[in-house]
Amino acid sequence: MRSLLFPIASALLLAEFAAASHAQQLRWESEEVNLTPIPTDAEAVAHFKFKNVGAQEAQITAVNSRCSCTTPTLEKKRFTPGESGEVKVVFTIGSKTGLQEKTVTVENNDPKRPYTTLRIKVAIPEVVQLRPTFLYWSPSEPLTPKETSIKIMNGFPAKVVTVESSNTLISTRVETVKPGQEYRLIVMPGETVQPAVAKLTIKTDYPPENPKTFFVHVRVDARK
Amino acid sequence: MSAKIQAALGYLLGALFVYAGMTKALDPARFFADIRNYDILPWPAVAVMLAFYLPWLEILCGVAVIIRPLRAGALLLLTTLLLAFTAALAQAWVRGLDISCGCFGKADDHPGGYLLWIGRDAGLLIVALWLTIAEARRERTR
Amino acid sequence: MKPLLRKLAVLLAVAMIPASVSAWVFWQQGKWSVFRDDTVPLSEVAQWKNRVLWVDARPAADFASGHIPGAVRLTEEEWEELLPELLNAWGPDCAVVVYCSSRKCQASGEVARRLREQVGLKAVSVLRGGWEDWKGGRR
Repeated sequence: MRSLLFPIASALLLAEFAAASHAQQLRWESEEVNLTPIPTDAEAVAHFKFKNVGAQEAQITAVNSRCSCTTPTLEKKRFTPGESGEVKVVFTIGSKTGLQEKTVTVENNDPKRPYTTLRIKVAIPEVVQLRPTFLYWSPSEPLTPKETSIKIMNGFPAKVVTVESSNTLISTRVETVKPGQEYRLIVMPGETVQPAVAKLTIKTDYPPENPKTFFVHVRVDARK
Repeated sequence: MSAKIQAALGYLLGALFVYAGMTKALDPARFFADIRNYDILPWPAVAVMLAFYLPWLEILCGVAVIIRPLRAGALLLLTTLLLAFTAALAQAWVRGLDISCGCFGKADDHPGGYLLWIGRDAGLLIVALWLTIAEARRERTR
Repeated sequence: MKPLLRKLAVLLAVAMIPASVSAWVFWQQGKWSVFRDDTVPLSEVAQWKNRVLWVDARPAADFASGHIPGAVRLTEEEWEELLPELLNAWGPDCAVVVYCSSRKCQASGEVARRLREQVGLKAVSVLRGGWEDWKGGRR
């Protein structure tokens, strides 16, 4: 028995090596792509190119993403040996900011590597930084003004144009700290015993075709 | 057991660990996340230290297998590491944790692999143990 | 035995050098915040005295098939649409715990980070193990 154990284990080791050394059907140019969209982009697109380096026809059975913001598309599903293809991944930016990492799983008929995980890393520039986006007055707190800082980042040529409050009880005022770079949004709740909520809409003037809008939420709880 | 075959297997084991170590050293953040998923270590600080240290220990031991004076130590360490990895995987399996192995960094990320991962590590463990014992024997008779 | 121990010590010690360099480079690149662990196991949340506001960071379809009772939804994709409901449900006495499907998914971490840094809420954590741990009653 002892003399069998070692060869079996060695076979496992060698098989592991075979698996680890990419003896697969599909060779991917890259399984991870970094994207750096500019502020005016609504989407970021990654192209994952691959080639069938196996001896048989490769068939991609499914391409999935867990996030509705990431849409993978494939033009065709069968690839003859030597043929190249591409999985196009479109990432919708929406109101996201910061570093986003999303994955797309590609299922194929290769028994050695049935799943491939493609990864996109999107660095979304936060062009206008508002901190905080929620202002709250608790029942025991006096109704003194609070402020949100507005910082224009990365040389983004935007200016704060207007601030509108959805509730007349909550008024606002914008102070310039550094023109084109830093502002202070002062929020003043009017005298009230009742609770009040408001959505403040901050409009900028950039990009001209579709100026970006940001929101700050306000909540004043009923006075004790 | 021919000395040449032993040496060859030792080199293969070493090369495998260098590869495994490199995939983890390149993305410490991801390895940290994988370690946390095993839910064994109570303190995140320990996981951070391991995330940086383990990959380089693997690479170093993988290379040291080639260096005769260090071979015994390297093999012993690799065997210990494999023992620890197999135990970690086994406890995660028993607890039904949904994790990604973290063994080869992102190159290993596919669903449902407990049997494969444990089987693989157990196999490697047997090889490493055998080589360690053989090397220790040879050291003693030198 | 002693020479072996010495060799082990050499290997263990030398490995610390590239490890430290790697850690230093990582810190220099400003990436250290990824190690911040704000996940809490369900067993710990169960012991909290504060009211817990559960935040579900999964897609609407997953929420519809089952969610933690009383949870509000919030995802990065629908941030502005869903945030008002969360802010309405929130109170200064509450502990916010964000969850997504399992240990592997990262959406909860992203949502928690944004709630903390951008919205300014205190006491925001992430449920370790997510919906899977809740379902499994792992306490």
